[in-house]
Amino acid sequence: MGNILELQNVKKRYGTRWALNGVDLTLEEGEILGLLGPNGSGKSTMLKLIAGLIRPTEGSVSINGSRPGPEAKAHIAMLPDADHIYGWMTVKQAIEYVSGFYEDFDHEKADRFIEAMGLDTGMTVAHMSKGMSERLKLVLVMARNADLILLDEPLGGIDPTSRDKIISGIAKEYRWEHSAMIIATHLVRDIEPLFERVLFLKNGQGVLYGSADELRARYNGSIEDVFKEVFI
Amino acid sequence: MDFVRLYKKEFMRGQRSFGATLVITLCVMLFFFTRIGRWDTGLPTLVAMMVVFGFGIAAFIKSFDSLKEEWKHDNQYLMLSLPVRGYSILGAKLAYFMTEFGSHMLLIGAYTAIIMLAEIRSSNTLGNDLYGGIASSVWRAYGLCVLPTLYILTGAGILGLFSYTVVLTIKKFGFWVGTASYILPLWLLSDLSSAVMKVSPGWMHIEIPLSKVLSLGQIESALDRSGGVINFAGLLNGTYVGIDMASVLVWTAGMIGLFYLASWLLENKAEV
Repeated sequence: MGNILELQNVKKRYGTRWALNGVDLTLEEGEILGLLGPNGSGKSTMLKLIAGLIRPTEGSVSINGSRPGPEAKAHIAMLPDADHIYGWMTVKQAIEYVSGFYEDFDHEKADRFIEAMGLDTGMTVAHMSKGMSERLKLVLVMARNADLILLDEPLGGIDPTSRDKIISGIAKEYRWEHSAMIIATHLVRDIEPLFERVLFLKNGQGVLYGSADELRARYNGSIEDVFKEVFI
Repeated sequence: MDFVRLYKKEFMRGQRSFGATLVITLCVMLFFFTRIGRWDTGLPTLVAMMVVFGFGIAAFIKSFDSLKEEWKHDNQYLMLSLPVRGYSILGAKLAYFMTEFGSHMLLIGAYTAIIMLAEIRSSNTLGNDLYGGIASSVWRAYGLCVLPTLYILTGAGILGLFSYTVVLTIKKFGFWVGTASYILPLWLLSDLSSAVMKVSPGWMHIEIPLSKVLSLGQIESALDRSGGVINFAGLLNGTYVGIDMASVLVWTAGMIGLFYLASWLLENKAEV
């Protein structure tokens, strides 16, 4: 299996504050990484750097051997924390718009996902609830057969019923052997069964990294228990 | 194809306000048209001209907004995650800006010409020949303004996009950086084009007498026939419509350069 993602001593500074301070990471095909940490630990910054939405102050990011740019973006599917879909678009228009830019967009997968998520294709994005909007964002990401999938707080502000739908949707449609995925979250409990590896971030630095199973065994508990031990 | 998709999105986003503005301006102009003979002579035309001027100001302001809107509503996350080049994004925004304001400026200009001619006609003192000559001159003047209007609009659009990408790159003192990055290229290009005009060869200066451009001969003949005599060629002697191609080339090259610089900044420096 080849490396999809490589981060070498990546740092990002905003003004005088280091949001990310020397992170190294390698991700191979098939891996799902849980990127965990409290608010302000640098999780979103790291995903934005990988997606090419911001640039590192120091260090390098490489996706399939090339730096973030229009070519690399064709292989990345990102679900940001922000509500980034145009409010005037309907679900159908949003899917038509986004799918046009990506060769790996699978319309059948999108249809399955829309049905599973209970979305109305004629509904306008601006009129959607937070949960529906998150589910639409997930459809746009998971309908792609992208090499690298980045999910930033996919469960943030979502009710428990929608959470279950989202997690089962991810597990069902993820291409287990052809893609890599990073899920950044501070809501660990519901989503931790998906993690193969886990990176804990604190103040922009990686403080704990390893296989999810090994960490569970070492700390004799769930990843959420490890999270509490590391951050509380 | 990326450009077409991006342009379609811009069009879909703006189509309601674009359509509404087209209808509103038509209604306003029809209202001015109905005021001919009721308001003081020349007033409907003057007010219609002020609307054209107002749209010029609106175009200047809007030239910043097309990119700013993306950041205002968090849509920059989607825009910057697309696998497209910066010039496709900015090209689509510029093309839509031209569609919207080009249509408004040209239509309102045409409405204004119609109101002006209707006012002239309503005076009932002109013969058909004379009126035909005046109408021909007005439409020729309108035609003469089409290309410069579109050229200036394109320049304003590029400057607005360039200015906002510089603001995105520097991220501090937005208003001052935006103002400086708008004015500085204008000032530099203006100085450079003046310098180039001084040394450019004679064949690059193209000048046509205004009396020929406006086809005033038809008005002269009509006046002759009705006993009046006005020698426009003499009256406008020395008045030319001129263009210096060297200057146009400097401005065009400058605008293309600014467009590509803005595209590079958007692709390589702008952050969400």
